[in-house]
Amino acid sequence: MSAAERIRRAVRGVRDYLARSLGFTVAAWCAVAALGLLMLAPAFAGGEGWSAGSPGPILIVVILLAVVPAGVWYWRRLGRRRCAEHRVTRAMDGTAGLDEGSVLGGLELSRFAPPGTSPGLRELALEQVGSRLSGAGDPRKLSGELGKQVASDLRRGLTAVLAAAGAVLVVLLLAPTRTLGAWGGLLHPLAVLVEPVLPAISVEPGTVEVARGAVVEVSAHAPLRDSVVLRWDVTGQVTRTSTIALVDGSGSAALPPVGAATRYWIEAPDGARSEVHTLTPVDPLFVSTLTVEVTHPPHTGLPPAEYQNEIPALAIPAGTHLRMRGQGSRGIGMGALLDEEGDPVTALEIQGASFEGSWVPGRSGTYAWAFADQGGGDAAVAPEPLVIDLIPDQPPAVEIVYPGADTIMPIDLRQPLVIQTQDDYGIARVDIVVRRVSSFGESGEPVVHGVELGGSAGAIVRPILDVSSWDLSPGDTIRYLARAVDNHPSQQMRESAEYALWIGGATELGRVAEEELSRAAEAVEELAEEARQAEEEARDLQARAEAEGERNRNRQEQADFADREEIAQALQRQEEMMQAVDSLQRELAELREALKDAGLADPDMEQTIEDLEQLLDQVAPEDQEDALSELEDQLAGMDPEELREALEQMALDQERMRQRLEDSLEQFRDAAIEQDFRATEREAQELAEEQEILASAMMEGGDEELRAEQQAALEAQAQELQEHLEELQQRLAEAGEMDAGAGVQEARHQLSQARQQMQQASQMMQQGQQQDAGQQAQQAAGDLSEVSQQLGQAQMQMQMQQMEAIRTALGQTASDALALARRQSELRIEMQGASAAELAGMRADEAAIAQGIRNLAENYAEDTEMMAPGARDLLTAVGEAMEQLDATITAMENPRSQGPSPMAEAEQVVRTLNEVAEMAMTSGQQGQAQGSASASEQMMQQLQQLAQQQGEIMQDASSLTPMRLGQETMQEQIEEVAGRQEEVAEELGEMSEDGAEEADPLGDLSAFAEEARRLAEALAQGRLDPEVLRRQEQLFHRLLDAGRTLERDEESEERESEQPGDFTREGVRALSADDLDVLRFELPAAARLRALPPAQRALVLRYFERLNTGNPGPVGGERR
Amino acid sequence: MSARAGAALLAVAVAATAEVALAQGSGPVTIARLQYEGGGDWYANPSSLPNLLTEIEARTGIPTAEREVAIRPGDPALRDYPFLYMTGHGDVRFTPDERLALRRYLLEGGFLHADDNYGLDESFRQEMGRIFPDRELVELPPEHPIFRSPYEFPDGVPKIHEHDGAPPRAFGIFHQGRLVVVYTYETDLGDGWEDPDVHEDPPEVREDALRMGVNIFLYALMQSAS
Repeated sequence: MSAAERIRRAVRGVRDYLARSLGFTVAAWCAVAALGLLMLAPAFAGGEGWSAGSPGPILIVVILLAVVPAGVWYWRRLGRRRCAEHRVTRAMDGTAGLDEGSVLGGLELSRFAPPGTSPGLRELALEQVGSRLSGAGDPRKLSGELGKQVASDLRRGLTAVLAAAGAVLVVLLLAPTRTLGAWGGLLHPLAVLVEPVLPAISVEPGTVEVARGAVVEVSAHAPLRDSVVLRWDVTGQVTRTSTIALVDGSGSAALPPVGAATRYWIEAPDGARSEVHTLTPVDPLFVSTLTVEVTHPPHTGLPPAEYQNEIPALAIPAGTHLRMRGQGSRGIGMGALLDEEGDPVTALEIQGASFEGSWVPGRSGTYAWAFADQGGGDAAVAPEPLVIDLIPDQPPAVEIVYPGADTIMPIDLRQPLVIQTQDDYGIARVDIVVRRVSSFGESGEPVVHGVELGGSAGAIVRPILDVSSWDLSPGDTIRYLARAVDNHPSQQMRESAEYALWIGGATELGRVAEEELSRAAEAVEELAEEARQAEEEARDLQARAEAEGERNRNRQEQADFADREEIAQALQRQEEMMQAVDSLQRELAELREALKDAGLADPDMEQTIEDLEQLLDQVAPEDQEDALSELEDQLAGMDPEELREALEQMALDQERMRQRLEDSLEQFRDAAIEQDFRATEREAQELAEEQEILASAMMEGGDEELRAEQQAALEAQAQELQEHLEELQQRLAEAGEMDAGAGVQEARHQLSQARQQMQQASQMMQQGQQQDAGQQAQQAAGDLSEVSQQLGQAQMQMQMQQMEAIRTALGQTASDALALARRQSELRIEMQGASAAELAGMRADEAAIAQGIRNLAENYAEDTEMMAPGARDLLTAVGEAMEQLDATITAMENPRSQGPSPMAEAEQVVRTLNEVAEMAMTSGQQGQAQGSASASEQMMQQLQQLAQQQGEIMQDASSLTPMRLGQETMQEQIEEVAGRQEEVAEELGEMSEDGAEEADPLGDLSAFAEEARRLAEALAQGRLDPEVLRRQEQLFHRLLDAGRTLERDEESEERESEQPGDFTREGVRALSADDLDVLRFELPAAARLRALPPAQRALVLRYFERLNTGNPGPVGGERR
Repeated sequence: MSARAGAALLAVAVAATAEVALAQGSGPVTIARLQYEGGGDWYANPSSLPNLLTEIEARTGIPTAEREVAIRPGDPALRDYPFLYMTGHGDVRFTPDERLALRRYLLEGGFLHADDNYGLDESFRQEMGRIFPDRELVELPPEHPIFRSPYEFPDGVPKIHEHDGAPPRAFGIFHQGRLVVVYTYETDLGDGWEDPDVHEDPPEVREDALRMGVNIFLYALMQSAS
């Protein structure tokens, strides 16, 4: 580098250093100025910050912005003054140790060498300066004093900046919000400077509908204003104004009553103007059109209902659905139904002026309507409140009205029930819940029989509780109840009281049988009375028909329709009576079967009931029923003569029926009395046995209170027996059985004594006098036993008297018949060779014989009460004799006729009367013959009797435990039962040996005998527990079943099957139209028939019937 | 066409009838056994009807109950059963009410098959005479459809048991063209339907009895459907 260059460079470097330092210095002072402004800005802005329109921020910003160019200008100006070349070079001269002006000279010499300047010298000069400058150091050092001054200025500037920055920081910390707010204004100086826009103004209520004539209060909102002008114009009128003074920018004024559409708005003094609104006057809202559809729950079966406008108080079942709809006079804004607390129960859907809604009321009450128009105004008129009376679904009621109490199960184990049930909205079904409780308290699974009722509101159900297949035993109890289930979806149910049906033992069932027979006797009596009335009616009809016939003898017209109807009714009545007789006959058969099934095989009673059945069979014989049906069928086509004959026949039939019923009545009564005797005797016997056991228990001692109670209970039974005896005595008195009645009277007396002793025994037992009480009880047992014996004797006496009476009557009948036969025989001899006149004279004698025969028949029927064997055959023979006698008299009137001679007819009479006598005499023997039975029948009877004994043993055994006897007495009783059980075992064993080759069921007898023997052994060991009782029960049922099986086999007599051999088929003719019973004329289609009115339909059917039967009949006469 | 195919085709036609019975009785079709009075063993041949019902279902596809039901003539439930069957060795006796109920049942669509088990004939004919005094039992010729479908019996009803050695015969009572009573006599179909070891009938004889039973049953149901 040349020296010149070095000089220029050094000078330039010093000047740059100085300029830079001056720049920093100026910048520092500018910064100080800016910081000073920032520090002052909060003071300028004030406590609220810059006020709108304040020029402060903009001025500060401008000053701040001006500082920069001012700083630049000052820096440049300072640079020019401080960094002038001569000042810099002078400073350099001093620093470099050069002479003053050396650097400047060298600099200028470097730039321009004056003419004539020696290049060498120049270079030399330059070299000297240049080398001194190069050795003087960096520009800061070269700057010398000037540089020091500039650096001093820079330090002062920087110090000022630091001070200012600290001050600003202090201000910021002291008042940060104010400071930052003020500085924020500096960021938006123009925004602060510009004046603010006033807010918009508004007026309320806006565009709305108002009630016509309403005074509308208008509210004006105009912030930053003191007042506004309200302007309004009514359609067709000039605009009017009103000034509203504002407080805090708000105020209000009232517009005149709105009678027409009114526009309104407000204007502010600053020219602002609100939106223009319109007030539209409307009339009040009327809601008076209302329809309520009521849909009841399906299970109620109630039909839907609909009410309009005036809705009555609604009494509705719970769950009812209401559907409401209606119309307002104009648009509806809101609609609801409110409860009594004012809470909405349902919101209504609104569409314009219409509304609708649905609701299921949950509780009763008064529900008001709430409607408002679209302006929110309440409806001036609303429907009347809905009054709801909500009726909850009641559970069904059910009651067993019959038997309605605990009672004894009927013999046939089929108890008719009458169940009454009702429900407010219908019963779905009635269940009969039945369970068996065994004699030792074990309850079986309930069995449910359902009767569907299909939703009827109330019903009387008459089911038959049939437990005949349950293998029940005496001592068992059937407990049953009825359970009604209504048709509500939740299937509400209610149960009746539970009742018990006791399966009676032989004693109770014997009493039931007596009641059944008594009822049958009453039924026969009623039927006899009815038959008597029917007979009178038939006679009347017959008489009337004969009188009519006399009047219309020459007329061949048919009987009058009314007469025919009367006859038809009489026939119908007769048929009903026959059906009643059939029904009674069936009931007796069922009773007989049921007694047998229950193990009460009493051959005498069975025979009695069978006899009664036969009697009833004769009352309504098959052929008479058939003839009756035939007569009914033919009634329509009969001419008067035929009708008269039919009436005569009908009257005769009625008479015969009445006679037979009256004849039977005594037998029914006797059967009832006999059964009453049996049942009462049985009751007395059982009571005596129980009293005997109790007496033993008393004497054994202990349990005084229990024994006293047991004695009192037996005394109550004795009282009941006393009542039965009284009834029996009365019945015997009515039947004229005075001797038997006296026997019963004696038994009553004996029973009274027994009762007194029982009462005393009970009292003594309560007083702790056990031995005395036991003796009294023992005496009572003895008396009771005598009562039983007395009754047995009375009954036997009665039977013997009856048999004696019958025997006497039969003897008398035979005697009378023989006498009549003798007399008839004498007359027959007299007839030989007698003239016609003599024969005519003998007719009176024949009439006397006829009367004698009639008397014989009446006496026989009355004296024997038709209870003699072969009574019917005998009376039939008597009837034949009567007919033959009539024939004899007729022959005597016309001796020369071609028929048999009077003597021949008289011979027949004699023969028949002799037969009658013979029948009467042999009647008793026939009765004895009836007693014979086949070996199988005997076996069956024996098995049934054994079953009966087994049932009694079981019942007695099961009754011991509840008596809570003392050990000694209990042991005695068990031994007694064991002895009886052993007897059954022995009899079964004998039967098994005798009947080994008989039918199958007998093959089980050895097993039965073995089981009976094991039971006897168990009892003999004092073992009486539920297991033994259960086994006794099983044996009882197996014996019963074996008896039945035998009986069935007896009936069946099934043949041996045999494979077919050769045979020849015969030709079979083709079936004809008659065989097929095809209709010659097809009936019109059912649909067509149904379309016709009933009367016309009947006419058409009758027409076709006659076409098809080929009997045109009177249809032609009816054709119109 | 084989008899079995015929049975299958017929089963289709009968299905509708069976449906009706199902709808009415809410169960498979069954046969009602008439329980009558008079001393006759109405309960005879206890395994016969269960076997016949099983065979009907197997051969025709008609769903049948396992057992028959016993019913008295006066029982209102009688109307629920389209096919009534009676048999026995002894006397039959109906009460007037029962006769009326049976007559009504038969005239209103019911069907009775009476099968003499030896000893039923006299009393049965008497009772039929009382129930239908205006009709007679007429012998069914071999051409009658009851012997033709689904199984062919060209000679008429087959002979199953010997009885009196007379030719087997089938009688009927018609009402307006409809066969309401079939009475089989001197054949003993019921014995043939029993378990094989009861009477030890040869298999072919037993098969004949069952086929005839199927024919009678289907014929009864078919005509009640028509």
